[in-house]
Amino acid sequence: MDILSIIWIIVMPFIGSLVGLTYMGIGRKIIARVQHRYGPPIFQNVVDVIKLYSKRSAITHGVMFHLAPNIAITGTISTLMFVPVLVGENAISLFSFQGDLILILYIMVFGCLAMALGAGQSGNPNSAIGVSRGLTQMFGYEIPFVIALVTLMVQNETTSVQNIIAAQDSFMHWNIFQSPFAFVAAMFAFLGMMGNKPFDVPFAPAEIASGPPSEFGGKYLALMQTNRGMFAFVKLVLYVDLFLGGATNFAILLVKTFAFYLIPLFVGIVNPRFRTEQAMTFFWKWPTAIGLAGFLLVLL
Amino acid sequence: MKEDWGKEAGNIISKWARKHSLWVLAYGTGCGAIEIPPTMTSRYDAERFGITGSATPRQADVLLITGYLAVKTLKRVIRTYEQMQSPKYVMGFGSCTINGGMYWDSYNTIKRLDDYLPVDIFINGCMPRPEAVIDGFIELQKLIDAGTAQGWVKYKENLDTYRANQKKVITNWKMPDYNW
Amino acid sequence: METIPFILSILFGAAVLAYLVGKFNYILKVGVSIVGLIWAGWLFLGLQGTLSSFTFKMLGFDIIWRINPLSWLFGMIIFGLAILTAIFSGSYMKGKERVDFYCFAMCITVASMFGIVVSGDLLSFFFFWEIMTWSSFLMVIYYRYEAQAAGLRYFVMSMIGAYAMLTALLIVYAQLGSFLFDVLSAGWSGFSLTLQIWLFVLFVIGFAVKAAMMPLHTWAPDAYTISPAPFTALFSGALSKMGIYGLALLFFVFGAGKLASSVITIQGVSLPGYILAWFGAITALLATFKAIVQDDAKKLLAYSSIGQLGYIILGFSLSSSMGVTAGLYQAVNHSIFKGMLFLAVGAVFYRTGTRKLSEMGGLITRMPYTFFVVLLGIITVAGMPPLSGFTGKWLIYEALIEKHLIFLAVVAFGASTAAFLYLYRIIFTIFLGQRPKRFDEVKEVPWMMRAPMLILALLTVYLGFYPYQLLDLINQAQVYMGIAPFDLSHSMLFNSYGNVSTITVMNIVAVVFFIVFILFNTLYKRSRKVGLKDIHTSGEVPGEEINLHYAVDFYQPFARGVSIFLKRSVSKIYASLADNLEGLFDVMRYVYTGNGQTYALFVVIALAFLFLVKDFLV
Repeated sequence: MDILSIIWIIVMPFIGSLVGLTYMGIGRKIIARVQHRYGPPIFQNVVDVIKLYSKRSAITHGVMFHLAPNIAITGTISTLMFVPVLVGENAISLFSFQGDLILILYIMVFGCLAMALGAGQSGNPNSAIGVSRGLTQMFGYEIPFVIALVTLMVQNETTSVQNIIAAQDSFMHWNIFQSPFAFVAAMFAFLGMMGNKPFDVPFAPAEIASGPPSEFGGKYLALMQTNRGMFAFVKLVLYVDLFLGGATNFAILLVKTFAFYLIPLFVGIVNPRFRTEQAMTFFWKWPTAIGLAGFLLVLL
Repeated sequence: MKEDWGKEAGNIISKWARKHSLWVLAYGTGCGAIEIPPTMTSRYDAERFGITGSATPRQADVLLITGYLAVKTLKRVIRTYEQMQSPKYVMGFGSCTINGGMYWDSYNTIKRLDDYLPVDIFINGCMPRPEAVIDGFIELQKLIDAGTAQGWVKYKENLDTYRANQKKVITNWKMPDYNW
Repeated sequence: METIPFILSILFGAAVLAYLVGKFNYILKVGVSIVGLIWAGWLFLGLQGTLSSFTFKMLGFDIIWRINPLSWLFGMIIFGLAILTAIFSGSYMKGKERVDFYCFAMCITVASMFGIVVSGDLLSFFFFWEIMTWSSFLMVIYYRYEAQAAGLRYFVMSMIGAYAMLTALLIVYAQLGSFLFDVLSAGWSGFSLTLQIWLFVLFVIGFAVKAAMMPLHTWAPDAYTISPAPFTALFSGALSKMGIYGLALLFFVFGAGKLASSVITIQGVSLPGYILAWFGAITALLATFKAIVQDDAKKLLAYSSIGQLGYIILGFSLSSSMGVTAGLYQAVNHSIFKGMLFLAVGAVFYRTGTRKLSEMGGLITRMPYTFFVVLLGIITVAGMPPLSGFTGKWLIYEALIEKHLIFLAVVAFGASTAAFLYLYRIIFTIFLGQRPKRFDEVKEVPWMMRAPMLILALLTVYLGFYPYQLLDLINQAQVYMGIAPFDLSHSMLFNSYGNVSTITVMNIVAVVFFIVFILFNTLYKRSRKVGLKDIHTSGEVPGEEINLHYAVDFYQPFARGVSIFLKRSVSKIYASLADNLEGLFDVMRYVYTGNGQTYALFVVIALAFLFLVKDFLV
């Protein structure tokens, strides 16, 4: 392992969280413009995180509460390590040759579980309600997500993300064109995964006081927000790798990931909120049907 | 020397960040709460200064007290304030928080909020319009920048005085004692 | 003396001795059973890699007891779990009534399970199988009256399985004139296709009852719930594996796998295997749904156990190299994590006296070791890296994707995701959140109970880091079964589709966590610890008596969403069947008039009938 890849391994989590947080800031700006507002500066989320890190006091409810943000960010960084960020000449593949898509799917949940445990130990019933809703919704969107991923894996006869990217060598070979049904199903799942408006019932601020993180403040919340930004970045990069053939340099990566980021954002701006079981069963109707249509296409 | 330099830089950055990111917990039990929605939404858009609402006291920086406080609500406000993470700021909103306003001779409201909680900034008016509210936030930002918004330190130092004042009006004090 | 009969006699001897000395001293009876199990386990450990066998004649039938890599693997599960649960029960059963009886039944169960895995012929296999059913039945009805219904259900379902197996056994004997596995394996392909399918179905019913495959699972939730906690761990961890062992025998030793060549194949899987795979997958999904809405901790784990066994069946029925590796790995892994979880729930029950999830809460500070065990347990069940569950999940998905079985893969994935729901629920409602006042004085369980749980917990960490030793043992078993072994030459999980290096995963997680933890804790002052009632409740002060623990109807929206699956229940179908049959038998009862002359008439009619049809019978 050469020195450059070690540097990338160390730097990538920081870049990831910065990019993710900036995207969120841009998202806030766009929402503001849609609502005829001026909106906050695009680095607002970064400022928020710095402020949270600079808080002087913090309270803890116990061991899991204290460890939860740590483990969550560990899970996210570990996930990032197995996602190829750039491919081609200037490849940043991190550890992605030593793990495949199934690993990514499972290690992604690691951080979420830790967060759920921390929220559980906070003792706030709102947090537990939020976790219950979040898990229920997760079970909803995992179905179309898994359908899409299995379609991709079977179609490309590989479970390795690197190989899936390698198969999308030209524009028309991108999986978005090769398996459009899988893409649509995965995009629906993405809406649920990002937790934007129609699917934000786990975090409903006015209803259950922002749900799982409602007891977290100060440094804990800062770590969680960093994690949130990085996790968004990881998901975006994974989607770009799977459907848009990866990226060969940072400019292309930013363009592609931002394009993906806009989709749940725009859907979110114009939609109200689903109830929990509506959110869950929604994913089992059209998204699953579209995904299964993609299946039949593969089988034939 | 070097350590000082690091501390100084950290101070500047954290001041700047605190100034530009104020998460407001609006304690909207008074009539002034009606002025908050226009302040936050399209017409006046406080978000452009980094001011957003927050759902719980643990995450909030500014406690916004919108108007009069009955003795009953005061108890809740104190608990909410104590659950916030420092540095934290209190903003008195409307005349009622300054001298009781139109409730100055009421039997069950408090007159001066400053006796019970360390208020960093008052916004005068009955009601203060959203422009005044935003102006208040800008003033608070200036105070943070100058390092004079030290209400939370004051509260910590003079806890006994504040506690005595609080217990004077709240007769059924059944709260767990404050542990900083 | 030959080792295998010697081990058997140790186990049976320990059972009898524990019962006899149990009349006098508590430590003695528990000690006898633990020592007996450890001695037997030690002798068994020495049999690894050997192919010792023991032959004798009984009632004119050839009986073979032998050891091979497959039976060694399952024997290791049995002994490992049996010793740990015996140690656990040493503390758990203290002060309970009829402990001598408990030790007796425990040792007999272990002995019979050991007998099953060493049997080389159908006769002794069936013999030990029945002893196992009987002795475990004794355990299920340990709490006498409240266990009656569960015990009866277990017994009836086991009988159905046993009769199915007995029929298959007699058919085999009628055809081949021998009970030996080797003869059956050679003669299977000589059977007609109809006979092969019949035998396959009968054997599957026999084994699937013990493996609690839907729709033959109805005994499992109640029997698991009601039996004493240490035994439940053995029940779910080892005893249900006997069904899996039976399926392994059926597919790869008896030769039912050869069925594949003669009937239709779907994407490289034989039709019977494919159907069985669907049964496994549906079991995994529906049992998981059921588990999510349970309020009894052990019942929840029981349904979870049914679901996990569905995965194992799914793996085996693919009959591919990957599939069988997945099945065997998951079988071992399931014993570890389900043993761990059942023991932990037993420990909680031991201290709190309740199994109701909605009544507990906040025990993490009171029982930190148990919490740690449950935490590792749920991470393993969920299949998350870096613990051992991930390898099993990876193998199963690779096996499914390799065969292009997309629908099965999606059902399996879905079941695995749904498992997060009940796993979170079990750890949250017991250990996290607000603690009810009456559990303020709860203490951690004694070391004798902690140690077995912690050993199992550390095993999951070790297997998560380095599963290759276990995979090597599985490979030996696979070679014995005539299946291509799993490729271990890369010292990572590797096949043509993808690869995962578990060592790298574990290292990354450990190093990142270490760095984050150190940075986070050195850059900041210690945080202030506050009480559980110091939470955001809109300023209101929750009183001492108010319980803010959110545990009742935890997944109500989920239950509303999937009510269509939860409404129907196999037990209800059986109950309505029983009702209808009762009407039928009511009519048939009129045959028995109580009059001797009528009976004599029946006999004459029957004889006349037999005489008339005698030419057609022979």
